[in-house]
Amino acid sequence: MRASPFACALVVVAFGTGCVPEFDDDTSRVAAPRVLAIRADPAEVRERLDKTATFTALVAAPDGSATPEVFWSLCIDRKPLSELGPVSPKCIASPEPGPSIAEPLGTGTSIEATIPETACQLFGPQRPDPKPGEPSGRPVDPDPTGGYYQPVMAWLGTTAVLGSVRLGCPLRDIEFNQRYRQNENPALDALEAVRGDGTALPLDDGGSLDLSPGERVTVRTTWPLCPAVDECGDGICGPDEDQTTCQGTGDDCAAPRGCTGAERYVFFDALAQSTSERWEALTVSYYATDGSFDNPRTGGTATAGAEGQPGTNNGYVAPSAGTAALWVIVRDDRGGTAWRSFNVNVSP
Amino acid sequence: MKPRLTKAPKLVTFVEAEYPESEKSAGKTAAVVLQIGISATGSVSDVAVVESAGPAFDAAAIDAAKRFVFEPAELNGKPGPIRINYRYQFVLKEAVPTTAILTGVVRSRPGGEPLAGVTLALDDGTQVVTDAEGRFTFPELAPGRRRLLISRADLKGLQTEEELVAGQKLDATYEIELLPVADDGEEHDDLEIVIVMPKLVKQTVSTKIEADEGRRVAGTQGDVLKIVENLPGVARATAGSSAIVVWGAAPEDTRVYVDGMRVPLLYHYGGLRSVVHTDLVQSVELIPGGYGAAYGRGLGGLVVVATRDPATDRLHGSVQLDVMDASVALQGPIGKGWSFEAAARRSHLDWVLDTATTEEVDEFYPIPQYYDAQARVRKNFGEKEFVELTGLLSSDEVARVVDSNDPKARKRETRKLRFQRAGFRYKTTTNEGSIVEVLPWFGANQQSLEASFGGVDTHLTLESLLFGFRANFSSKVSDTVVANLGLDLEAARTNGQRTGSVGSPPREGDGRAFGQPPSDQTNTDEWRAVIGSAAPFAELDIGLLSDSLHIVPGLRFDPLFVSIDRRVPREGDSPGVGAYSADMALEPRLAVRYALSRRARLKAAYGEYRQPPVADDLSPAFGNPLLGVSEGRHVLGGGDFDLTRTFSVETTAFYTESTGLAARNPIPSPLIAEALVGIGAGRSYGAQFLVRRNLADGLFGWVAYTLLRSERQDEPSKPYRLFDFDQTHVLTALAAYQLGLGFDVSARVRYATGFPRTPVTGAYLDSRRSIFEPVLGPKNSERIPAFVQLDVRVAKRFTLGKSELELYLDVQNVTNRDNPEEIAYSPDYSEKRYVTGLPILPVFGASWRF
Repeated sequence: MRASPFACALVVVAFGTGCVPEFDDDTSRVAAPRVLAIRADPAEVRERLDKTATFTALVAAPDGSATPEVFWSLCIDRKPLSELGPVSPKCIASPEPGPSIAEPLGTGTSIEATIPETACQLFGPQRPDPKPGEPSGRPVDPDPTGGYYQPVMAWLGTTAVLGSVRLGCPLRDIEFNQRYRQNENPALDALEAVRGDGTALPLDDGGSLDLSPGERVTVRTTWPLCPAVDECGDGICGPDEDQTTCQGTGDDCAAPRGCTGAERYVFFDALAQSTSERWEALTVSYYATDGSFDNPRTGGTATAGAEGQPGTNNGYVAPSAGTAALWVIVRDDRGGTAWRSFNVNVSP
Repeated sequence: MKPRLTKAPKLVTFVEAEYPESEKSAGKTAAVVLQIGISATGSVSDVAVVESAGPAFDAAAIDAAKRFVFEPAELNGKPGPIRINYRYQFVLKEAVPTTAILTGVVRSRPGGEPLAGVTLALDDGTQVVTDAEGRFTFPELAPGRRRLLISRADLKGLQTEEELVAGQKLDATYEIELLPVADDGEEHDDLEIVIVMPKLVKQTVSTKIEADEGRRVAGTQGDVLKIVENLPGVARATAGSSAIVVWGAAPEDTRVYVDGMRVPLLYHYGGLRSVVHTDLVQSVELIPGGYGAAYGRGLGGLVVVATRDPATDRLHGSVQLDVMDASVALQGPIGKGWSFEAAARRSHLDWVLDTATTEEVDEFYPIPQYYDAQARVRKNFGEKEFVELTGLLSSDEVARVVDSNDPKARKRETRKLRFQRAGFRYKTTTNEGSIVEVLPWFGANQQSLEASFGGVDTHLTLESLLFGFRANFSSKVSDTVVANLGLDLEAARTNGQRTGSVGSPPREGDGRAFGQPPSDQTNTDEWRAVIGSAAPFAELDIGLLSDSLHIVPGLRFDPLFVSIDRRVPREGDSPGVGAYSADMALEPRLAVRYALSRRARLKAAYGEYRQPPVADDLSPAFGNPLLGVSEGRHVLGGGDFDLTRTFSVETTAFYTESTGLAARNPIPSPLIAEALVGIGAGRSYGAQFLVRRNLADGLFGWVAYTLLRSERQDEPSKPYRLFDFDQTHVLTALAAYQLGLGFDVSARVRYATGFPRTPVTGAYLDSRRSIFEPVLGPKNSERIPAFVQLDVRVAKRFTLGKSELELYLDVQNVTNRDNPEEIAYSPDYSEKRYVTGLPILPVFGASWRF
């Protein structure tokens, strides 16, 4: 929605504020080969328990276009406070900036990387080793979920995409260390295209959808409902369960697994200096080689044990002709990622 | 039988002969022998010359002798007539003077034209009037210190004192300003806007603009304090900004005082209204640098606002209304010796937009909401002594909400700034002209920022309690020396609370792109800081070479102390360990002014300054509790010249440097509680020019130009880069003309170099957050295009009995130029466009004064 020129002029002339230009946000359009997302498995590596992680890139390209190989590097350079971006500029400057800046990992859509033993010092809450005679260094600040991340770069030619894996670093708070559970990558419970007449067409990964030229559909994305109360035997190791609480009745924490929806998790509230609970917020991003989405992203609101199937919707308008490739990417706000792709065939 | 003299005659009344002037001036002495006939009663019956000394002496002696009185002679025991010979001696004596002479000339300032018909009146009622050549003479005056009042209907009255010595003639020259007189004989305020570069005790380098002039300038919407932005040395603020940037100093480095009380800002959010009602302002001094020892704690300049004395003749007031706000002011007497003034203003644009549109305009544009109020009560004890109580309050709030289905595009921001002040002042002027002033004051500031963007919340709250005390004693210690001694004390306790990323809110010099979401690495902190200093100062104004040369040395001893409740960020329930630091140093100041002639004056100044860290930067998590004091030096020189009676030129060259500025820690692994370190440096240099036409024949105006370069160094190993507020060229030309019949027109043209910005050279996707991040080029290596704007104002005044109604139309950006204000980028930083400022649009307003 745009304000009227009259209102704009009134405010601008009265207070000298500027008129911000509007840009067409075409970040959803895939016009050339692009890396749209990076997924880490596991979604979170625990210190001393998970030595490696596998990174997978979602490479999208228009049909028939040559897709270069993805080159990976693991950033091991800590960014200074004067850098307001998410990663050291040296890591993002070139694919091979030097062994003290980034470790080359090789090429391929998917790569396995060894997580540095010092990751929780480089990118986490553990203070860097002090120099002789000096106090300890400043730890890295966490994200709003209380998380820390090991950065990794996926290079497509000279274009980089920054990915990461969440670091499960222990804190000094005992309750946090006891109750925190490793993040789980989300999963799409269902992906559907709902036509104007209400017909819901399921969209499997790699499937296709036939639409009329310019037809408008609602793309509905849903994910599993996660429990608000931990129950033994549900297969989910929640914050209030451990290997002693569910003995004999379904030990969910023997092989701990999280919920693939909007999880309930604990974080350390630095202001209150105590451990608190919160729910994940899931965001869905949309991409297509043709046609258009109403919004490049939807979702983003924390789901507090909602009734019914949690999810989000977006509108899509089919192109006038031809075939379009579409990708739907689900992210939780703790770094977990999942995606599904499908094609749209336009016929009169 | 011949009578026998039994008693000789006796002279009882001697009359001094008037020494003939011709003989006296020739230095001649003489003796005249007279034969004097004395009657039986003792009176002189006749006088004849026996031995002449010349006609002049003879005549003088005869004239005196005729008035002698004798006891008569006695002949045979009875009074009787007799003749005697009398030798009258004329001797030159050294006369003891008993009176002094005061003479001289009265001239106009500027211009130096002699003023006829000026009345000079002494304290004993003696008065003279200047002749056609402006000359006057008091021929015989009692010696001592005499008070002199110089007046004429169209002059600003001048009262001065002179020391008269018996037997000496004092030749004085007095220069007085003419008061402008409007065609309709309206009264004029004696409000002055004084730009001082630097301030000297008796003779200031200043540009004075009358209140009436200030209100008539296009683009000010009738707010006199807005005139400051049109003066040399002042950079053009970003559209909507309330910041004042002088000589390339950061806005927070320039301190603003209202009646001696420090306030956090001069203009409300949006930058189009000052926080003090126009009708209450007596004067504002903008001192861009090189200020004297009476002030400190700021590396930039000073803005000193003085409110006017409340009216004592009758009730005066005003009501003003335009599309932005409404205001009211009132002042007058409330009893014998008592007077008051009060004013209030409130914005209403939010209400106007709600009524005039059906849209949620605040979703797109932040709409400032503000109000302010001032009040004063004064008790006068005679003409030279008073006490008063003053109160100020101000509130600003601006909010913006952008809702979106895209969670990364949702934005919410609310900024608030409120302050309150209360001060008590006592001032007295002694008979000898000494001034004593004492001002204790209290205050509070409340500042907050609540924002959410890209899923990252930012919260910042700063609440401060302030106390200040200023005492001044100014006195003439000799004929050529005036001393100013004082104490300047200020202390503030601040409670801070902050949550968010280190880069939000951003600092000057941060590499970022407009509209870039903040980093999602967040921290949180609570801290308390106490910052204070008690600075005694002394300043002398030494007049030499017949008052043509003034040297003003000053010294300020400013011990700054900082106390913080926690040295490191909180960890669990561990008790905080505080920190305290004290820094003491002498700050020398020196100003020199030399009058080459009546029309030309040279000036120079040097000063060393220090500034304590701000409370915001003392957070253990976001700043550094042990930040030290920043230091600076100012050097300036220049002159002003009266080209003609109405045209004058001023020019000043300056250089300032500063060290120990708080900057982001550049190392990858900083120590705990060292997110900021005092390793930054800055420098500014340039020159400013002002060509001015004083009000004459209804026309006034000026051209102000500043050539400036302002740089910062983020760490010693890095080269200097452009300061975020650097503007190479700032040109303002304005003129106002009284058309007659109550019509005024004015126009203003402004040109300013665009601010430097850091270019975006690329971008990459942050997959975890699903947003693009910019890749930045060299810091501040490109500029926003230049700003050019023409504003025009037309006003019509109506006299309604004893009141006046003014209607005005203020059209800004007459040419409808799309002035770029900021660089905006598309979400993936592949496209770049400019945020433009205001289009052409008139602002209509009305004010009624009585």
